[in-house]
Amino acid sequence: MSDSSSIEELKAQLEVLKRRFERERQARKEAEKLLESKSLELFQANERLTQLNTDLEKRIEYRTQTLNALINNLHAGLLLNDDGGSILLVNEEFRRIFKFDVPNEDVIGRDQRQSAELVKHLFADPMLFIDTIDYCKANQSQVHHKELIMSDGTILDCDFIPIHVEDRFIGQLWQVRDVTEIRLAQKRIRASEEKYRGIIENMELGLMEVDLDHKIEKVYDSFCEMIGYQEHELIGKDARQVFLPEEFLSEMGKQDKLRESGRQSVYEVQMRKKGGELIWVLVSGAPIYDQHGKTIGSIGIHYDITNRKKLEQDLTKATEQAEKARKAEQQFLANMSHEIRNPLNAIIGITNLLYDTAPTDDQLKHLNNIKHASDILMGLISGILDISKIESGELEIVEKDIDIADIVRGLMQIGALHQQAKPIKYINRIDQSRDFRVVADPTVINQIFLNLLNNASKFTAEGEIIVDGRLVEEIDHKVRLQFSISDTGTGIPKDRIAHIFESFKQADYHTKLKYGGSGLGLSIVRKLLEIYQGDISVESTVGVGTTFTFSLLLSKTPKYKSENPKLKYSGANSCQVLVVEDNTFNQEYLHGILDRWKMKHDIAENGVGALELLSQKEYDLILMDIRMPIMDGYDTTIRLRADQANPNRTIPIIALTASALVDEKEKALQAGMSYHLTKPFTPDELGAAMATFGLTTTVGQQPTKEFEFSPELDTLYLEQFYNSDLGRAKLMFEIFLKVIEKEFDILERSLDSSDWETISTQSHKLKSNFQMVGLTALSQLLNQLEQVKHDYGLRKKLPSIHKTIKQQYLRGKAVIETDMVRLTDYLLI
Amino acid sequence: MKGIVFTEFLQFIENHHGYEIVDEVIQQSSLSTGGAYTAVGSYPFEELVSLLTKTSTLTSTTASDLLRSFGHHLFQTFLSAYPQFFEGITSSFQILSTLESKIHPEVRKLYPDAELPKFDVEEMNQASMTLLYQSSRKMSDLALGLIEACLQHFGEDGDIAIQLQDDEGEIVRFIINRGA
Repeated sequence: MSDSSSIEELKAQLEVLKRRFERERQARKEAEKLLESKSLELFQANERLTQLNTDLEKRIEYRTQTLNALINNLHAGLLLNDDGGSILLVNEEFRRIFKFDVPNEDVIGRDQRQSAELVKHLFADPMLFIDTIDYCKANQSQVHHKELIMSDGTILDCDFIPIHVEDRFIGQLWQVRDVTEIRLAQKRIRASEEKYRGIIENMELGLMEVDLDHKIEKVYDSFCEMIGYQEHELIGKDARQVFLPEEFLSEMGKQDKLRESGRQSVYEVQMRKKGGELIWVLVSGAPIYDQHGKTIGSIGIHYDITNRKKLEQDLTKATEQAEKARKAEQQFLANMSHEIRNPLNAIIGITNLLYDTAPTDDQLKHLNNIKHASDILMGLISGILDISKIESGELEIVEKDIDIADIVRGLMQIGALHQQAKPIKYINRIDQSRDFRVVADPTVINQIFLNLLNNASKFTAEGEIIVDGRLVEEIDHKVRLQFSISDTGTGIPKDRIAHIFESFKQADYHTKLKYGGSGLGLSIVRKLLEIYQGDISVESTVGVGTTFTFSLLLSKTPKYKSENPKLKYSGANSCQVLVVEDNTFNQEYLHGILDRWKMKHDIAENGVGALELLSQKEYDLILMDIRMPIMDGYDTTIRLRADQANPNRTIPIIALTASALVDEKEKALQAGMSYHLTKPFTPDELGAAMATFGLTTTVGQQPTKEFEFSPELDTLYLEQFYNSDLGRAKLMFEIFLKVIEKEFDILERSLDSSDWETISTQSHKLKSNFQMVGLTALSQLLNQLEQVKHDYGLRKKLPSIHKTIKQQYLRGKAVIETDMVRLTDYLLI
Repeated sequence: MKGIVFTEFLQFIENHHGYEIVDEVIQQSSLSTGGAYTAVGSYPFEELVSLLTKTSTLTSTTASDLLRSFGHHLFQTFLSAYPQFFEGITSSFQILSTLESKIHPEVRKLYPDAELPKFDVEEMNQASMTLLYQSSRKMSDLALGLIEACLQHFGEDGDIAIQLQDDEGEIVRFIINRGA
């Protein structure tokens, strides 16, 4: 039992031991595994450390190289020595400046102080160099921007900087910059500044700079000299208080505003000098800016103009005195002339008495000489008196309501009367459609025209003297009128034109000999024109003639009929037209046109009917035929223009004449008509004529259509005349057919009865009618026939002409009838 | 938990009760390692708890007492295994006060993953010292045994007052009074 149990026990113990052994083995294996993994970990950690080390070394190498390159490329020489004075580092620039030619290794480690001894000869003052570095070393203090000059002129800017680490001195750094170029540039800038300042100072221009509050910041010598102060007396003071008289403060305020807005300007002010004396200065002021472009003050360049100002004042005074002297002289002349005129009048009067004393031939000759001489003297004295009066302002102006057109008409009649001996025609071209009723001194106006007309007749041996007059503009209650007086006289040489308005000057000496006169006429005219703000000009060609043109600014009379047609006729339909025409055909033609333009119109058969209508009703325009039975156009016009009571006295009259002869046109204008139109005329031509009087007509242009007139008609003429306005062509054809039979009948009967007068009148009347419908050949035949009154040869051919006319008339009428139908059809489409 | 605690615990049971008990404790515990531990390894804390509980049952000793005695054992182990920590040390306070500053950092060098209890010196003078123990392992009894062994080693008399700072035993204050 005990054995077996002890065997059992042993077995159990063995089992325990086995398990223990197994556990120990397991634990060992586990431990070994742990050790292995630890070893691997260690190895890897080691590897990482090695790599890190390599990386760090590379980075340090790179950093060192970068720093070395930086130090070497620095534009400053660097030297670093340790606390014992041994050189640790010098860069390229340092080597260059100190002219080191030994390799760098030889420099490193050397004693800085000993090396300094070796290079001190490079300096202009070697001891200063040595003392400086000794001082820095001994005091271990920083020295900045110590300038040392080398014997070759190089300027060095040196910094000596002791290096401390936690209060312990470990070395010293030198920084040396070559500033030779910079210093030279600065020197040059200073020299340049000095130069320009010198120039400005020498130009006697005083410069002063002030801030925005007028506080003086800087003054230059020449300014001090100009104003009498010392520089130290001015700096910091308010420039306005020191220099500026009170009355210029507002001007200065204006200048300040300009400066604020960055503008410069030039102005004149007075300034008070130190002693209180005032001077005039011309100031050119400009803003001063800071580096950001902000205005911080202004600079003024002052120029003393006191002398100039004084000269100006002296000059004004002198001018005034001269003016006074001149007035006195004129007064004297006026008085003298007056005094001379009295005895002269006595001489002339007594001379005239002597004529009645039955003088002998010799005596008569002497008397004539006396008379002639005293007349000349009288004219001269009168002229001088006039000029003196005008110039001294003594001419008394008495203004009243006058009609310049009347005055001129009167003067021209007198002129024509005086010049009867000479073949001179006086032509009045004053615009009859305008009112020339103004307020002016009639004597002045009279004298202006009289002098110019006398002048014209004096130098014109034959030809025309034409007076033109027109309205230039209306300004409120005033009008500017322009007149011209043209002659066909001798003309004025170009080089004399400039002088003819001067007193006592004529074109030349020969003129005086040949034509006489005082040479005062034109001078007087010019001075008189000045009264009415007028001026005068002259155009002249030697041998052809002279035209004087002048204008006057005058007040309207209360009765003045304002001719501002563009205002008056707002449209064509608001105006009244009177047609004075005996020809039915022309009546119809005008009637058609005016209807188309929607213009109200009356028709009078002749002058008598016209005058009757004109006395009853107000019209704006008259269309006047010239040749009319009972009373013709000329007569009608003259009567109308002369009738002061007629409300239509001044309205424009357009003359309608059948011939374009200049003579007829001239006659029409002379009679007082305003415009001249030759028949046959197109509506456009009539419109244009009316437009010159401000009447606007709206010509309704028909759309252009292709229509061919019969080839028997003068198609070229028709196309030109109607200008594709087929509506109007149709109207004309209509009128033609309506009136022609009756009119042609009158012609035929007069031919039959050989009534020359009627043949002529009727031919004249019909020729334009035939022309207007394109029967050109027939029109030419009638033109011929018109002469029958004077042409006896023609009378013999009359029967054959009659026959031809009759044939052409019948054929033409038939063609017109056909074309009329065709036109009507065509226009309907 | 560091392997040395397991190997020394099993050594401690063997010393007192023979390997049969060690074997039985291992047999009765379900251990992932099968009871094979090495001082340089690390093992789940639960296995130590299991070993402790089984030992307590088999030897009829409270776990608290077991841990306290194990503390004495462990101190001796440290003394012989790591004499370098004790060089020049002449008193218990000297070594106790340097646990956190000197010894634990050395342990972490070898075993970066070691989870060590915290011993903060709250107060210390010639006569007394207050140590604050903090550990989620709640093994302040082991600490007590270690402290006692330490005092004994330096031939110091003294009493150790224990103040539990929480219900769990994670934070415990040791107030050590040495005889003068």
